Amino acid sequence: MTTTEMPLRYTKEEYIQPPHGFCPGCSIPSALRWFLKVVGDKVILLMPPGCASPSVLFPKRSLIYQGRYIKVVATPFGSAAIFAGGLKSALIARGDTETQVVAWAGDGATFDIGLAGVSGAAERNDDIIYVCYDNEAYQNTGNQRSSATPWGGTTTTNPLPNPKMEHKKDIMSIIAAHRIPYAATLSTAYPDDFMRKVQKAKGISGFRFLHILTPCPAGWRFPLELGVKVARLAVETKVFPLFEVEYGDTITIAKEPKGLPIEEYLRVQGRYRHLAQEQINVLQSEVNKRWDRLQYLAKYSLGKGCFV
Amino acid sequence: MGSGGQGVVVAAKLLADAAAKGGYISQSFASYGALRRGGQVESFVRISGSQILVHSKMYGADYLVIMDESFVKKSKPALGVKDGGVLLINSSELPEAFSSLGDFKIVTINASSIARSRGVLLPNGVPVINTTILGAVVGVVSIVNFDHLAEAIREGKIPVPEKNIEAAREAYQEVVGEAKVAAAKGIEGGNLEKAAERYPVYNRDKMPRCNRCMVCYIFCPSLAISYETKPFWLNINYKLCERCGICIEECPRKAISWGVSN
Amino acid sequence: MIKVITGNEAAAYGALLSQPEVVCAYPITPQSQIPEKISEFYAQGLLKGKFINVESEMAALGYVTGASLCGVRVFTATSSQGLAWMHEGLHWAAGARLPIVMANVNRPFGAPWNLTCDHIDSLAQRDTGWMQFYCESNQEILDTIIQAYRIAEQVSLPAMVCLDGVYLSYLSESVNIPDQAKVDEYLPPYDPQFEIPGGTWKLVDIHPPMKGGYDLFSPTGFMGDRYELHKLESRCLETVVKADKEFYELFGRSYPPVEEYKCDDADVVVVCVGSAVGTCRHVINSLRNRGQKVGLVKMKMFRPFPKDLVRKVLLGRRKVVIIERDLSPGQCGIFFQEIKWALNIDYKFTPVYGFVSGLGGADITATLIEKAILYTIEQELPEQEVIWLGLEEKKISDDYDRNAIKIH
Repeated sequence: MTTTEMPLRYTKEEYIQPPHGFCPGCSIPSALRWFLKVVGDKVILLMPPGCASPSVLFPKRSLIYQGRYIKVVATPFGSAAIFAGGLKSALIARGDTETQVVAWAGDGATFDIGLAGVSGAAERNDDIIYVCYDNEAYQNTGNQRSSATPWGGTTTTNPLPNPKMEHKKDIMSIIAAHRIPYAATLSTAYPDDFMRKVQKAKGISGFRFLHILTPCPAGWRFPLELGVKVARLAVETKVFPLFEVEYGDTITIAKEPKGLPIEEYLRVQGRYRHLAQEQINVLQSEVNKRWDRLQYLAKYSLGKGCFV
Repeated sequence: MGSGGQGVVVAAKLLADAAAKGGYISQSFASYGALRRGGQVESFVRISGSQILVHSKMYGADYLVIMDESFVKKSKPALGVKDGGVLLINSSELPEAFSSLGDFKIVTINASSIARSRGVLLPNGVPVINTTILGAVVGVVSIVNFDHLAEAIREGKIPVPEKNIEAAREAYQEVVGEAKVAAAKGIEGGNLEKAAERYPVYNRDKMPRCNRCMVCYIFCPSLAISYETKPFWLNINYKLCERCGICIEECPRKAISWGVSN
Repeated sequence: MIKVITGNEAAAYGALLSQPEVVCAYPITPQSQIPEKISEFYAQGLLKGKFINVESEMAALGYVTGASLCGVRVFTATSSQGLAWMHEGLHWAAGARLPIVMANVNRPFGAPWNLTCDHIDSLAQRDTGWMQFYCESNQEILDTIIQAYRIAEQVSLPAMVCLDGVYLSYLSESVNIPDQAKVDEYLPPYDPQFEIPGGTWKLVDIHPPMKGGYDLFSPTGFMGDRYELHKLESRCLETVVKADKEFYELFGRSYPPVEEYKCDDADVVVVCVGSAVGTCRHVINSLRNRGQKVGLVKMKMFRPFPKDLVRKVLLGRRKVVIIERDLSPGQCGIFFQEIKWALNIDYKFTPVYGFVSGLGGADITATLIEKAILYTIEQELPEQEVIWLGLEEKKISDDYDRNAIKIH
């Protein structure tokens, strides 16, 4: 096949008009870019405080398509899912069933202050896509701990010698237990898998939950060029497995991880530099435990019963 | 005054700390423009022998330190400095180049080149000039003692403090007049800031390299890479490129690599 | 020990020196450095226990309320949106008479979003029953937190120590950090005991504290409780004044709840709150040098409202100028409202000019303050309740009220 006949692997349409305000090397603009390449511009994005909302609005509004602004609402911190549900109801009342209503929230807004809101929206099966971009702390206000911060991680509100001693909140289990039509984990290292899942979510109605791990070079302290590698290692070491859950009981593993030892993932990040071998073993065993459970459920669930 | 990411706020705090060590009462404060990288940031320092009452921004400073000369080169902004005040500008040019700004005493110091030569750099090779320029500030504002500045740098959680102090000392000595080659440095400087700065280069000509997998295009966080078809070509927009290096790291064929500008 | 520290760090040091036993806070710009600094103190072993991270401000207040019910000293900190998240809990804590001390970094509410300085956030909580103190400098922030614990624990009411977002929270100033030993002398350990029939009880056992029994949901019981709360609040002032006097004896610094500055022979008195007070002092000095008879009143204590002190210093003045950093939309400035109310007794009329300035972090400069004072001197009587000071014309719409008075 000559170069002129090669099919376009990714659409040329861009919905982010750079320069944007994200930090250099950040993985969130990639996630947002790929998401919008699939969903298109018939979308309303609801962004609570976090990394994304100031970065798409300053220094200039950067979500622009064909000369028109893509609608972004900066909601209060715990209310992204709540505003989204209300917005969708209003659109339906006016006969608009095409516009996707998307809550684009960070881990702080999803796992912590907005969890009740997300749970309520999931329980009502509000017809929205809830996307959680997870950089494992309140990075925009300067790297304070959230419940998405992993065990052993240090942040400004648990500095050494007191790293976080609670394991990362298992948000997928919590949300999937609401039996929503579609929940999936996505990675900024696998664009094709990412876009496939977004395409699938786009075609479903009801509450759809997408959990994206977005490594943060500033907060996790790794060199900028390893931004994609860190995301890839998270998947390959089973720290962040890629899977989909439908109606709470059908689990599909999207990518079989290589099963690399967790050290490969930990040692490139400055926030884990203090870990002793026993602590690394704790993390490895937790990761193994969650992965084994996931595999077991994937094998045996298949519409037979409750996920959790 | 400088751009976000240059350390404008830390510089003000260090100066206030240094002044306090000398027994003065000091205050430092910052005003953020866009609250994001690259936006203009101003910080203010007040040093006094008696209690400082005022808690507002500064509109008539005695000294203005300009860390990013592009702010005064592109336009004539409201400088917030008194007539007859002192402008200290990070630049390789001589003071005469800035005489159009108005009735000020102008001092220039090539803080970027000093910082670079002393190894005070960010990982991507850009020099960090805030501590260097503070050395020059201390030379100009004679009530602050250089040793107090050095102490403040050591205590201020600055990485590689000794390198920063040496860079500051060089700037201080130059301003105070102890180094002889100030003028020569100014002329030779030129675009030293851009020298040895690295950026990604797309090597299409070294075959077989690029297989058009588009990995670099899809992973670029700054959307700096775009492509054309018929024939296939990749464009890197260097105004948007943040030199993060992800394209180089991810390219399976090493068709993009670091180039160094001269 | 003198250190150059920001307002947020000063608040953290104030909390450290008061040695709270449970500290819990949730980050929000411009307060985030307070929980960060306190986490550092815990990491350095300067505080016992550990810093509690919670999932929201509502949880932060709830957590410390629960702890305070068991009779331990607690601390939390927040700002604007977070303070609003706590609103329900604020009423609860005051009604339960819990001596919680909170640092609030003043920032306005969205929409539209603004991350700088405005007093509307704490002023919007003025009906909750919390005591409110406003600080002019970083030194005052540190000292007021220590004083607040002393006062709160004596009267058994919660206290909010307010500091200006950005203008104090991010501003570095020389602060004299007192020795722990001296603070321990001033602030004894907190261990409340109550004698009730049957023995000595801790607070949680007799909660909610009501004299003579527990009347849940009874109208007469609730009204009686509010009578007691009102009485308690009305008597706070003497505790505040005494605490300040004792603070002065030990530390040499004093912060009266209503401070007079060069008011003795002043015709025109400026009333101001927060960091702008410092700038006002500077302007008063400058105008005095030019022969103008102007003075300044600094409102440090806002709740309970020290109406006797306000009347004493402002009644009968030729003109009172209020420069405040808040607005109750459609009405007027809140300090204007309250001071005018306080001065409206015995049918005496004191002309009060209300300037609304500095909303959302707009700078209150010495030039603006001077213009406001000179404008007042020239006016016979105040013409409107709201005079806009420092409003940027190009930011407002064309059909804006042409009768509105604006000074630039």
